[in-house]
Amino acid sequence: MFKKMFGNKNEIVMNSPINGKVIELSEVPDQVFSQKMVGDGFAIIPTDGEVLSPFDGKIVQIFPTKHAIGLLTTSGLEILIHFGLDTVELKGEGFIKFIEANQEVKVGDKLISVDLEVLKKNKKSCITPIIFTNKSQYKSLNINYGNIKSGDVCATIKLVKR
Amino acid sequence: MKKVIIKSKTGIHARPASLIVKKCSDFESQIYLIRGEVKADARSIMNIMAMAIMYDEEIIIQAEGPDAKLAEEAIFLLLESEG
Repeated sequence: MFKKMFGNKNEIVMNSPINGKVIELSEVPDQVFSQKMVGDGFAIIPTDGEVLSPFDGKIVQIFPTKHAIGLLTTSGLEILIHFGLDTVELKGEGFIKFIEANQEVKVGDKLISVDLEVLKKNKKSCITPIIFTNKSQYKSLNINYGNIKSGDVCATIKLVKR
Repeated sequence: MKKVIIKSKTGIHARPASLIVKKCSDFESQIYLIRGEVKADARSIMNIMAMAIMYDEEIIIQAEGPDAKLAEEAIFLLLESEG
């Protein structure tokens, strides 16, 4: 057990940033994500709109429309959290951000808050792809599919040795 | 080297950045997006996102390698059509 927890520095665990259900990336109805064009990952169907930082790290970018967050973990892994599909078109409506680009964050810090009713009203899917955007950084992902609470372990990522 | 003015009202956010990264994989050349002093590796979605390219900004596409001309043309067309 201890070996599992501390033995392998090339493995990192990720806490879910959102309450909801973890699904396969291939189930996302947007080819950019489902075909893994920019990296592997998974998606979450959120049950609420609170998004917490899944790692200690730094915000690479949050777009003015607040729907997509680029995060660089302290272990150097790049992650993209894209809240909803085509949500760029809402131009920030229904989104509140709590962080800025280049800001350091701790695991569990609130990143954004989304009003799911606004997405529903505008007929936007709330399915949130979470992508590890630098394929050269990791060997494999082990995803815990199914219902999840934010803060619970949703993925184990085996990193490429450096 | 090619210049393009971004015509997408929402700028180069995650999705168009993804399409750029995908398109780059068709080429061998090193491909960069440049705005002023900032230069991003067009193969890195994080690099492109970090530039936060907005509507009406002028971006230079620069490629270096055996298929540089083709790569610049392809990325140019992509950036234009996204707007």
